[in-house]
Amino acid sequence: MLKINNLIKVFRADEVETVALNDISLEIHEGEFVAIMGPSGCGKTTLLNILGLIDLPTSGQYFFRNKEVSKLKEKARAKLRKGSIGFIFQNFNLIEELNVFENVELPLIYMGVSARERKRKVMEALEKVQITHRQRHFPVQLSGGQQQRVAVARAVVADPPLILADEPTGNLDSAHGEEVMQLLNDLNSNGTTIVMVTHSQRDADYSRRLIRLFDGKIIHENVGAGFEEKM
Amino acid sequence: MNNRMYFFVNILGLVLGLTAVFLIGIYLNDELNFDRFHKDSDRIYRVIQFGNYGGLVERSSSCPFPLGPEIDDYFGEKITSHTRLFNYQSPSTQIAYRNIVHYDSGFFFTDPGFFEVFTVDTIDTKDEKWLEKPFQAVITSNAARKYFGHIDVVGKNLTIENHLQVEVQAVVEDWPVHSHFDFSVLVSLDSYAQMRGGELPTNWVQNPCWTYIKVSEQTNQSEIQKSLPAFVKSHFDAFIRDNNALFLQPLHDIHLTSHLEYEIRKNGNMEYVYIFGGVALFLILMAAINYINLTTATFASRAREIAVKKVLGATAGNIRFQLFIEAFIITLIAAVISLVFTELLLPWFNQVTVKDFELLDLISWRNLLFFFLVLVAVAAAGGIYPAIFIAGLNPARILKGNLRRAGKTGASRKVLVVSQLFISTLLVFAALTIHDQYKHLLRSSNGINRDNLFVINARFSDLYKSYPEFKKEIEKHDAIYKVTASDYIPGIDHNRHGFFVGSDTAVNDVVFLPALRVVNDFFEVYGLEINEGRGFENDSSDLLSAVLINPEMARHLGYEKPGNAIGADLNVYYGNEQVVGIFEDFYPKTLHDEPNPFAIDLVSEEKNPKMGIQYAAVRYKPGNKDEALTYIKRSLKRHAGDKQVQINEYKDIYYNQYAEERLFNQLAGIMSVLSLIISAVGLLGLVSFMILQKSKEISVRKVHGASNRSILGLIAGEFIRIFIVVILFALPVAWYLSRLWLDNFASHVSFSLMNWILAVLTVALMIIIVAVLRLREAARVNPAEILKYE
Repeated sequence: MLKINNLIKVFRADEVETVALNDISLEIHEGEFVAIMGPSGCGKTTLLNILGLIDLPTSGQYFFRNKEVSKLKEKARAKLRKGSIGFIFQNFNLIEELNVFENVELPLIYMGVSARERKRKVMEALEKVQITHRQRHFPVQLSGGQQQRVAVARAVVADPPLILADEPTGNLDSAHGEEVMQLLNDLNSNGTTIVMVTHSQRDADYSRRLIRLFDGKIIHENVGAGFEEKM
Repeated sequence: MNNRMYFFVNILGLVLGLTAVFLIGIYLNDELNFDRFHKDSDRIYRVIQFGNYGGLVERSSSCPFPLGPEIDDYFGEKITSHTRLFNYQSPSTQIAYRNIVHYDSGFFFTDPGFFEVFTVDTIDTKDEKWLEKPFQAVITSNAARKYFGHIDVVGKNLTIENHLQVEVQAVVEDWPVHSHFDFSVLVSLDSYAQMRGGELPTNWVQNPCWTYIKVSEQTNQSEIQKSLPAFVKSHFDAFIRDNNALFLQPLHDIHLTSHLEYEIRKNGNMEYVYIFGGVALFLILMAAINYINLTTATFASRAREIAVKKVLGATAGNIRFQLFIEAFIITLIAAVISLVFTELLLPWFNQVTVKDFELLDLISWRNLLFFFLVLVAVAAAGGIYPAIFIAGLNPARILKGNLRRAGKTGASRKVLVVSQLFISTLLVFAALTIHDQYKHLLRSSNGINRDNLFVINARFSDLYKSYPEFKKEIEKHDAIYKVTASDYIPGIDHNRHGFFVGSDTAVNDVVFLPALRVVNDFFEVYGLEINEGRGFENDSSDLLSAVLINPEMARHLGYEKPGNAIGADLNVYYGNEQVVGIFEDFYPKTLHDEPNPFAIDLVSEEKNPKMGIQYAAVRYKPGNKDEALTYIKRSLKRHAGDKQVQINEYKDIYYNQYAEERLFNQLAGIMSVLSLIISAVGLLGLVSFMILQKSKEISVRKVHGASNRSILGLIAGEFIRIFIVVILFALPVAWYLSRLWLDNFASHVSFSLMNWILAVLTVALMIIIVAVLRLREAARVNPAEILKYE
């Protein structure tokens, strides 16, 4: 599903150059649940952003569903993102001015889905994360766990084949973290590909494959239980 | 926008606002300081006369001939000096030196007291006392250059109106322009007496003399005012003493508040002072709002600096002071640039305002203080809000990187945007309304057919002597339709004439009614409609027996139906006359004043030619202007004597009456465009700020597939929503203000919803243009960056 070859990402700020990703090659298949781990600043989030088409690599190739996308313009990337990638962030990134229903509805609006269809899909997604009763509430009125469930609903509402999660439990206590991980696990069981950045070994245990990054390089890869090695 | 860009835009906004305020300030400074250059100018008063003639009130800025010396006598010590000004009741007078001939509007006969009442600086003279004897003149240096080419002219002669030789006794400095009248040539009033056989008019009915007095230091004007009724009783002719009153008008008040009949020249208008003062206040407010918006917009970078300073021990007070001083320095820089701009714009501004301003002339303690106060006010208005806002930020949050939550700005920022859009919309609407009204003044009918009409100023010329021949000669020509003449130009100016209502001609019953004295073909040439009855017959039978009035006059005389007034007696001292027709109401002066009761009386071209032949009018056939003009000029050479007479198109004379409105129209247009630019500059900064402020929301939306355009739509949408609130608030204000101004005109356009919509669309368009200009900035919001640091 995703394939990157010799990917390099360099950040330039005035006179300092920081190499965030240093010659990374990686392939992720349809239906995988991949966890990326590593210390702060190792390039985890940068990798996730590039995989999610919201950032571009400095050099290297990136095939998204067999299409080279590493040099696409923002407009084309936005088009590709819509409906095919769902995002979950550590700090939820809900829009404070919009209520739960409207936050979840957002991706569908940009996809141009009709109002009636949107309502059906949003309700379906909210049911999936069991937060239907809070649909008129605003993010500030929800607990962290509830907010993240809304964020998950938003990520899945368009039925994307790929979900990218950046430390989805980082701001949650363990009980709520558990809930969210269970949701991701269920999604993966139904065939959704998941790539997750995490600090937590417990979260990583949900995955079938673990990639360790250090200073922008993959230093270790192992395949979790129950997943057949395809490489 | 980076910080340097913000700084530039910030300065630009301030510079535009301040430049406008400086220019307006210069204009207002001038308007408010008229006639203050005289020594003891607060002790100078003009005597004015109100006469009530059967409900038709004459508010005259001038007084009878004997009044000046009599009032000086009557009040003894209380009045230290007086002076009268008389200019033949003519807007311009012919003055000649050899073959150099000019029509001078600065000519006056006056008393020697002129130099005691007013302050005049001497350049050259041999005498100590001026204008005490007949045929003496005092002229200004500009006049000297105009007639003689140099100022070494004491002892030389000038010829006034071809018949009066005067000798220049002194050359004096010209007065500054901020004077409600100015003079070029003053001639002793005794000269006029000599021309009349040794005596000035002694009657108290005719009132052509502008009369000024200076009261003594110990005298309060109210003491004099109190005794004026007694003075009227003891001096005025018996038949008018009961319906006349005198008042004192402070010299300082004349320019802005005096709009009486027979003013020396058209005065200014207090309302325009208020309006421009208000506009200046608006613009400075907008500039200050811009400053606030732009300064707080850069707070992202400032906040870190301030947070660090706070952590290191700076108090909020320290930081506020620092920010205020910064605001003051920025304002000072902007002010200096504005001064340069003002200087560069002055020649153009002078052209628009028909003034002669110079920046250097404006340096005075008062003005410098005012300048400094404006700076402090702008710096305070612009600097205090950011100072409080930024200084109050929570350093812990800022250093953690959570800028957005470090301070709440939403509501107050909206108030700023609302007020700015409010002002812009109002100014654009005002400019459109003023423009409409100005066009209305020029276009709408004043009752006179203004096209294809020449007016010949024949005052003092010999035209009256051979007018019948002139008329016959002119009318023979193919290009010309008809010729007429009158004592004043209808629709421009008029006098009042004495009538006796009813058959009684007892001198006590005289009333002075607004009226024109005309000769044959008046209605035909001026295109004035006759509603009922008939016009004048072109034979001699109507000369002493017929008069026409307007419906207003019929009502004034007590006839409910104007037609019923036909046949009524309206006698004049030279004959028993009857109303023979009713002519359509017309605007006798400008469209400022309602058509009032009016009479038009036919006088004889042969017997009393000077009564009716002051201004001749020639209606020519369309398309024959040049031909007609050439022919009229040739004919005038034979009939008008050696005086060169002025010929103007009626239209031009008419348009000139609205010079003030023209200026106002131009300035309003300029100010509204300026306000749009200033608020565009402000919005530009604000949109950038909102993009920064909303960068997280924008990022989240982008991640979910929002395009840059839809992001801008979001932001512009927010402004448009605010704008809708503005529209609702501003509509009644616009309606009220436009009514307030338009009510100054008897004939005016009504509140125009179309203009309102146009103003709204203009401002909306500005919002959209600003949003589009910031498209790239919205595009630059990189979700990968923003979401990483959140």
